[in-house]
Amino acid sequence: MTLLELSDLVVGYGGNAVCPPVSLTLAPGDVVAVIGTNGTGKSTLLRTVLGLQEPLSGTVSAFGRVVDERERGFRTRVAGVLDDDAFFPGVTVREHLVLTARGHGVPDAGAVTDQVLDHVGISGHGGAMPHTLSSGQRRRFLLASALVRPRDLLVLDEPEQRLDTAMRARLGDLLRAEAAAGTAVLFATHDDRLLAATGASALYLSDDGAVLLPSADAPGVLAGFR
Amino acid sequence: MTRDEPGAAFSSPLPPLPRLVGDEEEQLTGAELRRLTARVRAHNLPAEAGRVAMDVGEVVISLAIVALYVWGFGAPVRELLGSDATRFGLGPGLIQAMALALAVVAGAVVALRVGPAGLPAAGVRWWVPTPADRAGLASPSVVRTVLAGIGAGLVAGGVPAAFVGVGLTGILADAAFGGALGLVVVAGTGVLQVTGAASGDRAGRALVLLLAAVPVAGLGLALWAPEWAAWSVPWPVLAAVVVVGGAVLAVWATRLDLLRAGELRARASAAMQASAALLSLDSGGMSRALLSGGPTASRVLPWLPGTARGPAGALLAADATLLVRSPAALAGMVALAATGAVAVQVPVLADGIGLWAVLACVGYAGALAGAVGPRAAGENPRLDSLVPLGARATRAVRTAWPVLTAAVVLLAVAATVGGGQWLAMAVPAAVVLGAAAVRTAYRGPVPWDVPMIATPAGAVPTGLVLHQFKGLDLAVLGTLPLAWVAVSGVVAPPMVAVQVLFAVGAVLWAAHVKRTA
Repeated sequence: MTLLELSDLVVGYGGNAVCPPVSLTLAPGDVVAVIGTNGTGKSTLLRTVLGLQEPLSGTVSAFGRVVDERERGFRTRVAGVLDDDAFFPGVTVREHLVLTARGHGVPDAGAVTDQVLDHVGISGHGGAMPHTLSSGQRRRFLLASALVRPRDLLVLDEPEQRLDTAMRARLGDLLRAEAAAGTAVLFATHDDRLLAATGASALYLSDDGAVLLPSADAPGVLAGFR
Repeated sequence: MTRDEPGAAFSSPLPPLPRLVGDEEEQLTGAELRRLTARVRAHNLPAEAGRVAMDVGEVVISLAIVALYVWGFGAPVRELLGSDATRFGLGPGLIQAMALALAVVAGAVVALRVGPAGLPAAGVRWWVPTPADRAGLASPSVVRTVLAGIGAGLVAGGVPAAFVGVGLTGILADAAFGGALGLVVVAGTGVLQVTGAASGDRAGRALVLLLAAVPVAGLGLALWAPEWAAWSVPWPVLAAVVVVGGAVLAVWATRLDLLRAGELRARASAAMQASAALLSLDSGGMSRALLSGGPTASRVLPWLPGTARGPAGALLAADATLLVRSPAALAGMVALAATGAVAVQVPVLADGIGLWAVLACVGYAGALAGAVGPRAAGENPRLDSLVPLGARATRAVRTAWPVLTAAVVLLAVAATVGGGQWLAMAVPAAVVLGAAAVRTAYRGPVPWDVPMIATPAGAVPTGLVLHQFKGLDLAVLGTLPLAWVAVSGVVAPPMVAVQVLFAVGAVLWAAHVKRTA
């Protein structure tokens, strides 16, 4: 079964492509990292997969349908975390997450939220206002927002950003567990250790084209960017 | 401030998270999610009844003061317009029409940029990715925008009518006409938003051009229909506009679920930028929020940066590129030239100090429109450090394009006033105004730490006042020779020479940079 299919997808702004044409298929349990140097279109690709911007050419299909994030079914099954932290004033960390879980109809949203807070290591900060969290804690909080809701496809843009070493290692475990539970994971990263920890294959974007690297080779290629 | 939990929290492996399944029956609708968030927030931040009453009271009193100001300002304007001493005429009907048209197009520009349907940035981040319906999420913003559009339209239609002396029934009809047009504008831009037609820069650019076209059309009408009397809109026309507005509103309201997340993100970002600029009284930030292009902004004249030779050439080429790629600046220049040409048809503005006021105002505004590069550098001082040129020389070079745009505007108005003699004054005056625009561009942030001055009318924020006058001071003082000529009515060569000297002084003043230890 195919969850996500990119066919000759070209993404960019104002008619200008920022990455080569990409073709990729993700099945349940697949983990694929998008790697490449700065400016090769990793984030733009993920935004397009999430339906936040139109492709310049080619198609993105999820669950057999062309991606349209306005469809309720798409939003129910696809979770994404980009680098956008905006919060409701006067609403705590835990309340943000409970609202998200309840919005998705998750039974026992409070208990699920507490469990997720524990997994991302900020269970002691559930009652805090988001703006009082440190930068790294806010990142954990945003990652939690994707974990308190149902998902068949998880899209993360450089999830390791601002995380300490311990949390990066935990993130690798979390993503592996996601895959084991049947969720397809697509994430952009610059961290070869996270890549190795997830056992992901890698979609390598460069000026020469887009190449899918097997999981054994991917961390080495990413480490070579240093 | 809270602290990171120690990494030791991960020393023991946690059991995997359960695979979550949402219950469709339990999923919240947009309205439910919005209300639940509001309840949580209200629980954490209870509003004090006394504070709310005080806030409402402040708003009511402020509105009453504004209304009184408008009424007081209206009397001399009515007298001025009623003097019937125009040369080829600026009928009150034309003033009404231009005011309404400008308000309608400006309203459309704002509505297209910041909405009209929208969500707060947090709503876009936390509500939009849920299955909640977008109509339920966005409906309060729709109600607010529709009411704001109608309200602004009532003012834009009614106030000019009251100024030019239309009777009470006519004022009411014109106000209702303005309100109906406000509804059409808001609902129309709303339909563009849900269909995705507003997502590119094309619609915004078209509206900016339309904004410039209004004064040009006004100039044409002033020549073609000089005796246009004050008017009140016929009831059938009013009824037709109301029906159209209602129909467009119905189309918009039934298609709110088509709102795209990307569109909502862009609008939330623009709205946040605009409100921040409003709160900090940052006019540059406001124009950027409402008029600047997005990622698909113009790329005209791609060869222009390559023509640069030397540091000064690089500055000139960079500023020229920014200017030609700013449709708002170019359209503003045309609009200002036409506005000035129309304004000098009013007798009190056709000569004397009135003429100087028009020339200085539109010329300074024209220079500001052309100061796209200096504004960018003023907001980001690192830009100037990229060029191997002293700070004074950099600012002096940057006056070039504002001088040119001020000159275009001044020459257009001077040509309307008549007599080639004015042209000799217009050029050095444009240099002064260009320098003033550069001084404005480099004025930096508002110095809020400057103490306020207590006056019988309330506290005056001195820092803000000083900030707002920076640049304007040079425009006023530097055009005193122009004022002398306008009052005397004679363009004598010695006064032209004095204006040239003032121009040199203005450039030196604008280029002045305080030495730091």
